Amino acid sequence: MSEIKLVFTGSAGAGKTTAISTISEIPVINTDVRSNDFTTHLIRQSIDTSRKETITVAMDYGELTLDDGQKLRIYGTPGQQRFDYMWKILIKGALGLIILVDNAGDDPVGDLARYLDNFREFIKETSAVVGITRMDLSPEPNLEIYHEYMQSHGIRLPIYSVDARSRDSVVMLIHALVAMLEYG
Amino acid sequence: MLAPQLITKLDQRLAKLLEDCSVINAAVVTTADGHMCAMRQGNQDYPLERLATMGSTLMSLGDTITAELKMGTCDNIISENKQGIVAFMHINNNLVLVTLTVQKNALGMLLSHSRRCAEEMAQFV
Amino acid sequence: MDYQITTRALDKTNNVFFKSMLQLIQNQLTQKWSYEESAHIILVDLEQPDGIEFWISKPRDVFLIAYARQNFYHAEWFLQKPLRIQPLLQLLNSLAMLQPAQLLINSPPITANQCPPPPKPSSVASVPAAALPSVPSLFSKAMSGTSEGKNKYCLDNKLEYFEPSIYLLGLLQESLVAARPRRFSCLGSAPLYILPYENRCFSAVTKMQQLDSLQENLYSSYAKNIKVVNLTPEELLAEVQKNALRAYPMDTALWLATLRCSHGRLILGQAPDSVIRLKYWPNFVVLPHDTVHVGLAAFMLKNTANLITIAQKTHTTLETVVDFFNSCKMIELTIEEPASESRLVDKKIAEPKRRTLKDILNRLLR
Ligand SMILES: Nc1nc2c(ncn2[C@@H]2O[C@H](COP(=O)(O)OP(=O)(O)OP(=O)(O)O)[C@@H](O)[C@H]2O)c(=O)[nH]1
Ligand SMILES: [Mg+2]
Repeated sequence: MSEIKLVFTGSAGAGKTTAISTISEIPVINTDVRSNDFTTHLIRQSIDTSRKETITVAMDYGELTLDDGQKLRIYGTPGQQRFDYMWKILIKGALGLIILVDNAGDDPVGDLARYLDNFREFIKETSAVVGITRMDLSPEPNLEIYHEYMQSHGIRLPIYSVDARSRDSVVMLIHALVAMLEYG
Repeated sequence: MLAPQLITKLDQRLAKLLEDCSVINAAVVTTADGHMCAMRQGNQDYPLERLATMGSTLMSLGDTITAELKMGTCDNIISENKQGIVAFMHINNNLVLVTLTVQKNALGMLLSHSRRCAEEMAQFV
Repeated sequence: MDYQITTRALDKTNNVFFKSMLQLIQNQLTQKWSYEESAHIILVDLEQPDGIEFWISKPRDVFLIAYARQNFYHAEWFLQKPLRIQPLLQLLNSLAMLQPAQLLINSPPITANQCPPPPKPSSVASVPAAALPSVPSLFSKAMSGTSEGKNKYCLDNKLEYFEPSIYLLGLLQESLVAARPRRFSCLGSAPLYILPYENRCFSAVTKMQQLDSLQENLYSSYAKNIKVVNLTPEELLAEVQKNALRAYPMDTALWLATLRCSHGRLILGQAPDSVIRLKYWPNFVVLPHDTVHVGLAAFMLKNTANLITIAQKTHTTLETVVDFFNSCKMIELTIEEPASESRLVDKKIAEPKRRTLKDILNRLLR
C-alpha cells in the first residue's frame, strides 16, 4: 500500500486539531491562524470561557510510526465550510474518516448531516466513525437524538460521545473505525 | 471583522493598484482566516470570494513550509500558470493580498506593484 | 359457541392467575371461554424449557398461543407477559372471530418465514414430541452440513438456554419491573445499587472496564448467593454519597450481568435461527468489552445475519457471538428480522490492508 492515512474532519471548532495532537508522535504541523470569526467567538464566549482563538485554514498533519516502521499519516481538514476545497484534496487515498461534531454548535445534528453528505461517496467506499465532542458544555442534543437521526436515514456508523482532548477517546474512535473497515 | 472605514481604504488602494498597473486583472484582500475584505477586478468574472479563502490557505501553507525549513517569514507565493500568474503575499499577520494577471511575461510588474501596495496597506491598517 | 383453552409450562402462580383472569373477564368476552386441563387451544410459556420444547416439537392438531415477554418466535398468536386484562380480552375475542376450521387446523406454530413448514407425513404415524430432536433447525442443519467446520458452529445439542432468573440478571430485571431501589451484594465484591426510576446504578468500582476477579464475582454469581436489600431512594442516595460511589447507566449492570453469565448459551426464549442486526453502535464507553466485541459490533451494524454466519464471517467462536448477542439484546440494541431479510454486505479486504489495520490498532492500544 502506498500510503496509510486517516483523516479527521467535522464541524468548526469540534476538536480535530486537538484530537490529532493527542495521538501524533510528532508536534502537529498545523496551519491555524487567529480567528476573525465574530459569530463563532460570540457563541463560544457565552458557553465556554476558554474560547477558541485559532482556526485551521489548510490542514493539520500528524504521524504515528507503526511497529514495522511504516508511518500512519493523520490529516485534519479545516472545519469551516468555506475551505471545502481542502476536504477533497485531503481525503484522497485515505483509509477511513473520523467525523467530529461540536455539540455546543448552533446545529450539531445538521452539521453531522452535512459532513455525512459531503463525504458520502468516500464513506460508501470505505467507512467512517462519528465523535460528538463538547457534550460536557452542551449535553443536548443527546446521543439518542443522533441514534434516531442515523437510524431514520439508514446510516450505520459507529458514534460516540468523546472528548477530543482525551487520548482514550480518540483511540476508541479509531478502534471503531478499524473494526468497521475490517468487518463492517 | 475590519472597521468599515478601513475596508473602504483597502478598496480604494486596490482600485489604485489596478489603475497604476494595467497588467493586473484582479486583486483581493483577505483575512488570514479566509474572509474577503476588499476586491477589484477588470472586465473578467473571477470567483474572488473563493480566491480569498484559497489565498489564506495557501499563505498559511507557505508560512508552514518556511517555518519548517527555518527560512524566516514567507514573503510571497507565486503560482505561474499556462494562462497567467497569481501572487500571494502578506500585508501583515492578519491580512493577505492576492493579485493576478493573464500576461505570462508580467511577473516583475505584478510583484513590484503588489508589494508596494501591500506595504502601503500595512501602514494604515 | 363454547371455547376451551388450556396452558402449557406455565408455573403455578401464572396458571392460577390466568384461570382467575379468565373468570374475571367472562362477561366482556364475545363468546364463552373456559379453562380445561386439556384443550386444543394452548397458551404456551416460551420462557420455560418445557414450553420451548413443546413449541418447537410442532405438535399437531393443536392451536398454539405464545406466551412470553417478547415475541421471539414471531408467533402468529402471541400474548405478552405479564398477563393483563386488555390484551387477553383482545386475543380471545379475535380468536373467536376466526372460522372454526381455522382454529381446528394446526397453524404452523413456528412462523412460516423462518422455518419451512414440516413436511406432511404420508403415513398417519405421528411422532411423539419427545422423540424429535430438540435442536433448532438451523443449528442441526449446520451440524449435518459441510464436512468443513463440522461441529464447529453449532450450539450445544442439549439446547441449554441461559436462564437469567437464576443469576444476578434475573434479580436486576425483577427489580426494574417492580421499580424498587435495591442493593445487591455478594461476598468480596463491591455492592451494586440500582435506582430503577432514574435508570442508573452505582458502585464503588471506578473502572467497570477492568473488574478484578473479586469484583467480577457479583456479576457472575447465582442469584441465591446474592444478598438483596430493599432501600428507599433516600437511603440509597445517602449510601451513594457516604461511600462516594460512581454512577453508571443501568445498561452497564444489565450488560455485565449478561456477559458474565451467559457462557455461550442463548438467552431463554430466543429463537436460535433468527437473523439479527444492531440498531445502533453500542456505547462501549459504559459497556465493558474486549476487542473482539468491537469487531462483532461492526459486523452486526452493517450485516443482518444469523448467529452462525456472524461467527463464521468474523472468525469468532459461536460462544462469544452468543454472549455478545445476549448482552446487546438485554439492553435492546438488537433488531430481529425474518430469515428472508438476511443481508450480507459484500466485503473484500486485501490481506496487506488487513495487516495494516491490525498494526494501527496494535500501535494505538499498546
Ligand atoms: N470542554 C470541552 N472542550 C473540548 C472538548 N473537545 C475539544 N475541546 C476543546 O475545543 C477546542 C477545539 O479546538 P480545535 O482542536 O482547534 O478544533 P478544530 O476542529 O481543529 O477547529 P477548526 O480547525 O477551526 O475547524 C479546543 O479548545 C479543545 O480543547 C470537549 O469534549 N469538552
Ligand atoms: Mg483545526
